[in-house]
Amino acid sequence: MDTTLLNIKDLQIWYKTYRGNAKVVDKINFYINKGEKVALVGESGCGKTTTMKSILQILDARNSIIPNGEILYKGKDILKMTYNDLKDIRRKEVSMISQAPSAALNPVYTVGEQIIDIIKYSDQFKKMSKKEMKKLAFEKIKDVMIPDQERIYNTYPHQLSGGMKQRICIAMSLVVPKSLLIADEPGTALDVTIQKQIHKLLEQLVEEKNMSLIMITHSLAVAREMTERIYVMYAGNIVETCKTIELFNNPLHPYTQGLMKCVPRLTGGGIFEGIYGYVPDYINPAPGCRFSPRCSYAMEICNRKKPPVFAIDKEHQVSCFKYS
Amino acid sequence: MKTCLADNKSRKKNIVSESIKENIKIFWYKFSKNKLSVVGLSIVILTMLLALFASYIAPYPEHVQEYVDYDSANLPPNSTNLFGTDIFGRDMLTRVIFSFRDALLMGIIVLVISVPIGTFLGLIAGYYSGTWIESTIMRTTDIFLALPPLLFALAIASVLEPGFKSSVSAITVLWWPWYTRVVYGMAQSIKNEYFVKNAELIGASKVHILIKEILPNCLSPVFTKMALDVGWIILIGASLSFVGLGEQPPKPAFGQMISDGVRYMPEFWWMVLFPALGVAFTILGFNFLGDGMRDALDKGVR
Repeated sequence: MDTTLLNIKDLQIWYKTYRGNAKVVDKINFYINKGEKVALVGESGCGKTTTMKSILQILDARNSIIPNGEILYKGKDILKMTYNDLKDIRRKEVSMISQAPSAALNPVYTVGEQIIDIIKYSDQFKKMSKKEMKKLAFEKIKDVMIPDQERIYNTYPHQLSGGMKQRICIAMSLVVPKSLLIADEPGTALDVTIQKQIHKLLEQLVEEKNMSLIMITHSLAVAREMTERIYVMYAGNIVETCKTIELFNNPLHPYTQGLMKCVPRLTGGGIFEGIYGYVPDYINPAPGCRFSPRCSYAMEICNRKKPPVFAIDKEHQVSCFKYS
Repeated sequence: MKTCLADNKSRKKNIVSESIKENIKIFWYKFSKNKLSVVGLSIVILTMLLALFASYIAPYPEHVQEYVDYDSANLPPNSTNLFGTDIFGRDMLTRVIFSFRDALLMGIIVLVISVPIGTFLGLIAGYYSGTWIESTIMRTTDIFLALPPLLFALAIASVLEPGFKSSVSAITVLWWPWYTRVVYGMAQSIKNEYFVKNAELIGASKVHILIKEILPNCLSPVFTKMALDVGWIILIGASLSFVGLGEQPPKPAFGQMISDGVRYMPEFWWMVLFPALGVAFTILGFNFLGDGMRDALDKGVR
């Protein structure tokens, strides 16, 4: 068949609040091919994590609704799956690294016990003896560049540093060979040097195992370093998508252009301008383009109508009336 | 080369056993920082020993059965009867030592039954918070919490035949809701922790999440509360037996001995004082122990 691994079509996600439904994710389209590395870039609160959580269905079902859309994983719609099928996907196909490594490990078990649990739960290693499981766990800890696996295996999470914990989290998400890894800002809680190491490690491991990677980040620099294709997200819409290099050479959407201008450059004298204003209200969004209140190119039509997606060329798509 | 491998193996074993040993050491270090909790622990151990070996320690074990000796009745504390004798001439020391048995047994039976039930219900209610399961469990709990414990125990114990069994069952019926409350609160907050979400992500079953992820994180307040509760249960048990609804004579019980002695109060003071001291001693011990456990099991203070 085709090489598309995950394909999200017209996905909408609403959060229920006391004022009404917050329309956080608004009809986004997203796909990732096998072995591809894709970044999802956007400012905080624009719906990146929400979108990714919906892939594995770990949004709180009592607070959120998905009124519309499809999430096709290998051609099957995750939203219509039974609980057992979903469990299979979680166990064998997709894993996710969360942005808070310190909270992601259970404080009452040693690191080793938690890795063993994962090995036990994935059906792929069912017939393993305890010794083999332990050996496998050691291997996985070794994979994330931790020396002295023996000691780490027997430590409790609170005895480890943040960087170590994040490595363990990565190791845990890679224990079972899976085809898609979603990394939700894996470096955010760490300092810059460790962040760099973690990103490098992640990249290396993903390439080794030929997995697909969705990198959620708010940093264009990280996206540029690690990925082949970029989705730029603004207030629940995907405003621009293209190859990473293309985006840096030729940003089209006013929001992307604004983001680029915010990045200080080595060659020029500092930051020239930012993007003024703030992220719009999700509960009663304006009928038009969600970026129009902040956009310096806003036209009359922008306030009335939602911009459709315009294909500039085969890979480069942008949703802005400027390019109609 | 061979010796090197052997060394490695023994080193590995050492690391595992050392980590357990170290945990115990850390616990003891934090526990013993407060001298009162060590005192509490010694009192608890002492009462337990007294209860277990009552028939060997007590000077006149036959005095807990039907026994009358009017010649030596109403004797104040002296060299043969350290705590004096009661109106039937029975040795008070013997009867006090034997009373520890029922008092402790009552605490243990009530907790052994009510803690697992309460914990389990609280866990379920906390995990399914916001659904009908939670409302059913928690509203039932609220109803039981609304009943004043002593009154309810009195009511049950007076409907049933008065005795040790009926007072234990009355207290048990009232005791589980406290554990449901405690565990419910803990489970509700732990449910939203990342590591639980992560377990869900990996595809763990609900049973695994409840038992292996959430439950162990709820246990430290449960243990603390258990230690504190033994004292309370002994107190309620003593109150019930004071009004005649606990252990029936001639078997000794703290409350019953006090209520018997109160009638002869100013002159024969030893008949009230020593059983009362026995109750106070036990409760104090368990309270100190509970406080110490709370400090030691508290996360973060290391």
